[in-house]
Amino acid sequence: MAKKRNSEYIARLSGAAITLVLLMFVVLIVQIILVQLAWVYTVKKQPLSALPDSPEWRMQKADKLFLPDGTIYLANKVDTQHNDSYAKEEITDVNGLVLWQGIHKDRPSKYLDWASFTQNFNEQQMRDISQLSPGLPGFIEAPVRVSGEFKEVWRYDLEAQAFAGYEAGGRFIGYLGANGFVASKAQAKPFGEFKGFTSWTDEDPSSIVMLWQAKHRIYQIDFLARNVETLFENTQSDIKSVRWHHWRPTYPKDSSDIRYRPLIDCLTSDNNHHLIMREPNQVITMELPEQLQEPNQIFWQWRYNSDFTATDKAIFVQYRDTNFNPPKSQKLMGLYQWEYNSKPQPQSIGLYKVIDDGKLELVNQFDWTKPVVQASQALNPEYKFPKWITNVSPTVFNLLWALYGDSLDKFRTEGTGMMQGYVTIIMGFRPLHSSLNYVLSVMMMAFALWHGWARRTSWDKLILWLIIVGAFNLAGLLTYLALNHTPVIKCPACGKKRGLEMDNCSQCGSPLPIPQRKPTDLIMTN
Amino acid sequence: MRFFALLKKELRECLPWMATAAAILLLFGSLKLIDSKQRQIGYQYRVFERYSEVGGYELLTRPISDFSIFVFMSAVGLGLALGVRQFWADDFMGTWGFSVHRSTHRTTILAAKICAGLISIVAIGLVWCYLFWRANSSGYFVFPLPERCFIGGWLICGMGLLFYLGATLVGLSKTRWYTTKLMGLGFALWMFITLTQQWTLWWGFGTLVIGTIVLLFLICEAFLNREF
Repeated sequence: MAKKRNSEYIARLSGAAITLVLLMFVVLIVQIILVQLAWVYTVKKQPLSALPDSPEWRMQKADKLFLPDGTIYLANKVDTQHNDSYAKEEITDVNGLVLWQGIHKDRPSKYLDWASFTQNFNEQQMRDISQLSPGLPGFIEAPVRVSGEFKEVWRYDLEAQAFAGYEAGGRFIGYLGANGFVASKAQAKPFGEFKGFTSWTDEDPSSIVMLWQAKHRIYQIDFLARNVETLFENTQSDIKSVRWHHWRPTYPKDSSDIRYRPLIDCLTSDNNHHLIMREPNQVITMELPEQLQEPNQIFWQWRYNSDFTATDKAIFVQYRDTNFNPPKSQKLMGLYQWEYNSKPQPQSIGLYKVIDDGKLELVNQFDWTKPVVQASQALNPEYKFPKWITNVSPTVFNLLWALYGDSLDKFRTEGTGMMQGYVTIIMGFRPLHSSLNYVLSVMMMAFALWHGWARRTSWDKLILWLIIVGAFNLAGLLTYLALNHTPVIKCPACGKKRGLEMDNCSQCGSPLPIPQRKPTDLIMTN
Repeated sequence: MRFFALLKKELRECLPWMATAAAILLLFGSLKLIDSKQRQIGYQYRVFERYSEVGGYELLTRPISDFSIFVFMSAVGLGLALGVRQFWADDFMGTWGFSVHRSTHRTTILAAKICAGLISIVAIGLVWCYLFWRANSSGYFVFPLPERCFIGGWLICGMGLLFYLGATLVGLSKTRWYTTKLMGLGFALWMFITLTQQWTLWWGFGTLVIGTIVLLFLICEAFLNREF
């Protein structure tokens, strides 16, 4: 009997939990629709305020270009009709004297350019293609051709974390793993947790070469040669980012005024930059001085203030100081950003030369002041609207935000998968007017109390439902109503309303009246 | 003995639906396989230029997405049809009394119904096994299909099981449609979305098991406590 009661409780509890989750989704979908409708009908009619075209703003927006000797120039877009590569721009010296005008992609190559992000396929994309969707998972396959005919293909095996090779006839060749080419899956050493890759062809287009980034290692995989080269390994720290410069071979005609060395800048979680260079092969590990390290990194846009490049003459670091030192907690970010934008802020960019032992030598520094950002420029109208719509969001989201706001934000920006989606929902639709949300929650609790008073079967249950309504706001109230809306009658004993779920009246305790028996009808035959 | 007699009766009732779904899958799956053979899937990789950057999606292949979609449609369609046939039809026709009032416990009746549904969905899985075997053994694909595809196909059949149990729960629920009547299908849909978001087989399998257990729990409670 007790077993039966337990299973009944579990079934009711899981039923209520499912109903609550589904109704939360329903409320969320309605909120999203309302936000989108308001966006279409209100916000788009308001012109987005552009930043003024004052000399101070032009200075702020300009690309700062360095020559290897440290001379600095400013590049400004002249028109905004085209994308970055085809936008017209002009290059001036710091006094405003125009030195060059033209299309961005034709910019003279005498200015230093810098390592940029490599991944053209990242961890999230790998997860997306591997999902167990009705179209079944996809695979990354590297084909190898000889004389125009496909000879073999290398397919990434997610479970083995290595590539499995097949000949065109379907015959198994072997595996390419961290230990190179081996005959079987058992022998293949996994590359490690996948983080991203970028791939290219060189002079011989019959096969591709991959720069494969795992959690602790970077490999270069040549499928034609069946060769795996470990470029970097650090089992102590995770790799945070990989940027490269001139690593991939280019057409010989793509020559530059400056002769660059192929470079990979690998930043690890211990804040060390590992510069892997070729021509000649060289690896430098350096920790930037404290004043050049990125401040407390919360928002992605404040990350990666430093860039690296290597020429045949020297290794350079460029560091932008925005004077923005974000607070320790993401919860204070909005206020801090507002304060930052409301005052002129000193900015600087410095060019440093890396000396062989990893120390830095300042070559040149340029300073300017970022003007005040007016409130109308700082606030995006898109963010004004959802505030009232979030008043019916679950109040418990605010509690989660208050207790775990920073962890949630970190997970939102760095996490993957469905849980990241849920965290994004919690953060995006948490009540922004807390006090109004609390008032609404209390009102809904009062309504639930009024509704449940006559229908209560036990005090514990009623209190639990009130807590759920208070914690989940509208979704909680709808769940309560969906699962507790039973008919009421007037109690024949006390005259007050009572539900029919319990035998005894919740007000006076008297039992339900037993219907009077009707006299037996006898059906007589013949 | 009574269980097997009931199972036989349920299987007999499920058979037309099961046979139709299996035949549709077999027909369209085979046609797609023949189409794949004619198009020589596996040789259709892009030819890249010299010194070009190759995007990750240019190396992406989905070898059997064309016919795995039929597995999905057959399994889910069969699941919904069986849920309606086994648990809604008695409501429509008012024949629950005949179905339930037998000289055996209700658990046995429910177990026989659910087992028959499960066997029918496994039948779709067996057709999938045949299609996979044919795709791998007769030169339809240039490169052999990986195990991940095979297990993924079975998980897709499992989606049919989720929808079957969801439809069953809806059929057993006596609440109104605008309250919690559709909760069973809503939960099945949520579990289906969660399952399609998983990228490791273990997590996919775990999601399927959790969804199935929760739905079975709710179905048992609804069936055993309902007044027919």
